[in-house]
This record gives sequence, C-alpha cells and structure tokens, in this order.
Amino acid sequence: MLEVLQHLAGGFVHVLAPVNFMALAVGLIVGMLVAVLPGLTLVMGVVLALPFTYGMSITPSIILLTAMYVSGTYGGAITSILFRIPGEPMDVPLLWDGFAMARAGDPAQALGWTLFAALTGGLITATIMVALAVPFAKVALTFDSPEYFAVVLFGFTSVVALGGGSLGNAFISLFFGMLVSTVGVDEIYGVDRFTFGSEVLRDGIGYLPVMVGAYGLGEVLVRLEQGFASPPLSGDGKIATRIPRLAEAWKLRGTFARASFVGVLCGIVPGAGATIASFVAYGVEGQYGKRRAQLGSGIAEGIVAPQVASTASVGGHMVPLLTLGIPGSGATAVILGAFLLHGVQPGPQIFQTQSALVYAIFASVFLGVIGMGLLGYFAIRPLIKVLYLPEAIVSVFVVLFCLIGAYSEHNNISDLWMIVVFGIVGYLFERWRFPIAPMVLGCILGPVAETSFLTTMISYRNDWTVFFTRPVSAAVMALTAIALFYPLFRGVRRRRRLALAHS
Amino acid sequence: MAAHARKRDLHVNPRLRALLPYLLVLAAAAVLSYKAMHFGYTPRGDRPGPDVWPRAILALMIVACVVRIVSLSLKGPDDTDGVLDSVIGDALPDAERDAAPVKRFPLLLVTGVALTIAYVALLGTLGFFCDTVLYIAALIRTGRYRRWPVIVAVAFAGALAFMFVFMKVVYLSLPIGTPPFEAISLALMRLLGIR
Repeated sequence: MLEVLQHLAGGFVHVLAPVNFMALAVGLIVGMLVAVLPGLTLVMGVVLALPFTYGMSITPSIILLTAMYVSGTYGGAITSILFRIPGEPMDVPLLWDGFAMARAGDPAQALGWTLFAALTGGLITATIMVALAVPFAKVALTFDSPEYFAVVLFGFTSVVALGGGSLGNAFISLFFGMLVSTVGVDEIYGVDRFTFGSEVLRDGIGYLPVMVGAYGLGEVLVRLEQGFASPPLSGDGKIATRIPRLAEAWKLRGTFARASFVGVLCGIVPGAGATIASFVAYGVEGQYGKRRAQLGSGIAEGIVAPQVASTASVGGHMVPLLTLGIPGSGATAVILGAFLLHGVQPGPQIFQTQSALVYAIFASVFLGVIGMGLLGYFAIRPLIKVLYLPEAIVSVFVVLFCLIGAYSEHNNISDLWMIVVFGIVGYLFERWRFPIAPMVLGCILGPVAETSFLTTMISYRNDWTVFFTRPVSAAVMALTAIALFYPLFRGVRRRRRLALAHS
Repeated sequence: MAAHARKRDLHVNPRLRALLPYLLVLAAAAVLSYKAMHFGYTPRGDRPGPDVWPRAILALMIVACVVRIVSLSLKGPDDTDGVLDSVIGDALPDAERDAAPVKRFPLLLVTGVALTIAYVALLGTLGFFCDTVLYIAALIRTGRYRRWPVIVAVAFAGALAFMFVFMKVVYLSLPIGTPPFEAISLALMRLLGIR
C-alpha cells in the first residue's frame, strides 16, 4: 500500500509538469464544452480530440482524453437542470429532480448539489480505482492466452448485452467491427483478406477512421437529417451555484454510498457505463432512499444519486482498461485507441513497464475531478453561452475536425474516403438502431481476440475445451454466459410484468 | 396515379423494410464467406489458417441475421433489448417514453452526404482553403442556417483558422491544389507566414 502511495505521489508530481498540467486543463475545459454544446456527445468529443494527440507524447495525450471524459460526465448536468436539455443520456434522470428543483425556484441549489455530487463521486471513484488496479493487475499477470481470449470474449458479450439497442443488432454490429479488423494482409501467412485487389485495403482499415467516421460524421448526418432541430431553451436560466453545507450533505450519506457503489460497479463491468449507472442509482434510491416517496418532486437525493453514479463510473471503467486492456465504454475505447497509437498496449504489464504513466493517469483523475469542480463553479456563465451557438455551424466544424484529424495520421486522402464510408455506415447504424459501440470495440479488440484464440489453438493443439477446463478461463466463460443470458431473462421478466400490468 | 401506387407500395411493406438491413448484411456475409473459403495459402501443419477467424465471425453474423429475420417475420419488430434500453424504458415516465416521432428531412441528408463526397473528391484540385470555404458555406446553408453574412464570414474565418493551426502550428501538409487554385493557397501561406 505504501508503495502505491509513493507511486501516486510521483504521479501527482508528473501531472503538475507544465505540459501535462496544460493537457489536463485543456481536457477539462473542452470536455465540459463538448458536454454543453448542442449536437455534440461526450464520446464524439473524445474522438475528435484523438488526432491532436499524434504529435504529443503519451502521458499528456492520455491525461487530455481522461480529463475530457471526467468533466464530460458533469457538463451535461448543467443544461439538464437549467434548460431541461440532457447533454447525454446519463443526464436524463437529472431532469426529474434537478429541473424540478430549478423550476421550483432554486436552480443554484440544484446546480450546487450536482457539483458536490460529481466532486464526491469522482474522488471516491479515483480512490477505489487506485486501490483496485494493482490487485487486478496482479491477477491478470497470471493469465495465459486462453484466459485473455475468455476476458476479451466477456468484454464483447457484456458490451453487447448491457449496451443500447436490440441484442441481435448489437451482435451484428460487433461482428461487423470484428470483420473490419480482419481486412488487410494477414500477419502470419501474408495472405490478402477481403482486399479485393485494392492497395488501400491491403494496409488494413484502422480503427481511427471507423471511430471518427461512425461517431463524428455519422452523428452529424443523423442530426442533419433532423434539420438540426435543437429543443427550445426553457427555464429561466438563472446561473449561479450554491454548494450545500457539509451538514446537509452528511444527511445524504446513504445516498452517496449507494450511488458510489452502483457507479463503480457499473464502471468495472464492460458495457454497463455511466448511463446505466445513473438510471440504476436513481432506481435504487427509489427503492431504498429515506425520502423515496418524494423522488421526482425536486429533492436533493434525486440529483445526488444519478450524478454520483455517473461520475463514479469513470474510475471503474479505467480499472479494466488499464489492467486488462478492455474498454468498457465508447470513451474508454477511444482512450485505448490513444494508447495503441502511441505503441503502448494496456494490460497487467503496463504496471511494470510504464508505472510512471499509470500513476500519472491516476493522479490526473484526482486533479481532474477537483479541476472539474472549480471549473463548474467559476466558469458556468461562459459555458452556458456556447449553448446558444447555431448547431449547423458547430456541426460543420465537427465534420472538418473529423476529416482533418483522419488526414493528419498518414497525410493521405484515402483516409478521408474511409471517414466518409464509415460516416455513412454510422448513419445507417443509427437509423436502423444498430448500436455503434460494439462495432468500435470489435474493430479495436478484434485483432487481440484473433491472436489470443489462434495462439491458444496452436499451443493446445486445437483443443478448444481448454477454455472451459482452466479454472480462470472457465470462470470468465461462465460470466460470459451470464452476461449473454441476463438480458434474455430480464426481457422475459419485463414482458410478464407488462402483461400483468395491462391485464 | 403512378406516384400514388408507389406511395402505397412503400406503406404496404413495412415488414420488408424492417428486414432490409438484415437481408443486405446476410447477402454481404454470404459473399464474404465465399471469398474467405478461397484465400490462397499454403497450410502449415495443423495450424489454423488465415481463413478460420473471418469464417467463424461470418458464420456467427449469418446466424445472427437469420435469427433476426425469422424473429421479425414471425413476431414483428419486438426484440430483446440490451440492458441499457430496458433500464431506461423502465425508468422513463410514460410521457417521455412515448415521445413524438422525429421529423426527418431526407433531402438535407442526401445533400450533406453529396457535399462531403464532393469536398473529399475536390480537395486535391481546389486545395484546402478554397475547398473548405465552399464546403463550410454550403453545409451551413444545408443545415438551414440562413444569415448569409455570418455564413460567409464563418466560412472564410474558419478555413483560414484551420489552415493556420494545422499548417503553421501542427506542421501538417494540407493539399494546396492545382493551378489556378494553387496560387491562392500559396499566396495565403505567404500571408500567414507558412513555409
């Protein structure tokens, strides 16, 4: 433990270096702007920032993206409370009590509770992240290829099962992404796979055009088809924040504890991100909270629970990302992409080979949460101003950032065509309700899954039962089966409940 | 009369429309499976070949498509949701769950896609600055923003700002185009101090 604290202290020193601190500050500001700007989502913002990290060294790159991720979980809350516009799906539960409290004449109090909740959730999750990461990594170090394959499979399955959209569509999206990752020259046999004689395809399709195209251009096309129709700004828009007194917050300690637990747990399980955490925490408060009967009428518990949980999920997500190389959400998939672009593969070894980097990331989450709090308190007025920018203008610049960002990787116009293709694919996915996250994850982790599967087959002489006979791999396979069948079980139970309610 | 019949046809086949994505994916997966069976390589002992992984993915994709097609044909669009949708569905109040359908403008979408394709296609010829000015102006107008002075100002200022940041600060070599557009790019580069 002492060793961890020593490393963490080193991490703080590392983050306070001018370049890293600058990356942290820029990440916090941009993350919050992205969460507030109309038509931009948190994942889209992180994707757009990715190309700017090419020229940076790895530490400021990851700090920049992580800071965006942290502050992005708070920015959308401001618009939910003041204008009834949730910046992200995770902010929807804030409409019920946050906006109600604001409409009842106390927006400053509502904003204060949200800020305090984000700060508390963030600091709790950062502490748990540091405490859990090393034990996780030690266990992961014992893994061989069958265990790695099982873990990647679990990541795939839980992202499909816990994500949005229908289960069938999510699987098709995942398989599509995995298939995209097979395009190009096979590394072992040197055989062309699905290249159709094209020199461009022989180099393979990178995950960057897939991510930038689908999340960036695809989302803009979806909004363009809707005529960039932003909801009208309602609410009186009084802008001030009143932080609750400690005594007031102490009365809600049960809510803070429950929501932090839900948030961290949802963060650790791949696929169950901030949105599920936020909704589940609100639901848990509705079942176990002292004032559950008043939930929805504008009480502090209804603001604290979803906000604590969504911010707490960030640290949870970082644990499997850093220790296993498994991203559990769109934003962490992009952060994994940044690691890979800099030639670093996250996993248990990273704690030995790049421990300074890992602890700098940990320290940046602590400092990022505090910075987010300061920014949320002092910079709320200019932040709100960007809400009035016309979405058509914002969207054009989003598209240009997507295109130039992709171009800057290889200075090659063929990458722009990839963006256009995957932008259209992203639009079609949205239109036909295929979730995008499984495709992106399949594209990034597809090669890891293929390599660990083939290595296992070669090492164990094509004996596929090895996945079920080695204890750790068998346990992870069992979790995979649970993740797969849970939505089916939940669906059956939900249909029965709805049928009963109708009858 | 013909237009009326066409409109009726579109309304008659909502199930076929729902099946369309799966039929397309299924057809593509079948073609790619055939391609994967014909990867030319020399087997090395009992090692799995380069076709094993893609064929496994394609087989799973085909199974997923067939399941969706059968399920849609028999039960309609009701499918098991992922946990996220199910949790949100349970939590949302009825009024928010039954939100009004979104109004769509397909012509805007088609124009936006066409403009983006044209932008990429013309980038090498027009050069970054000229192409970007035209693209910004056209796409903002397509997005139903109507104040022309703002559009023109944003287009020129935006293209110049991108050029300055990416060429002068990030040292990215953006396309300068072919004559006569090349001369415009070079003049602006001199003006901005870009070498």
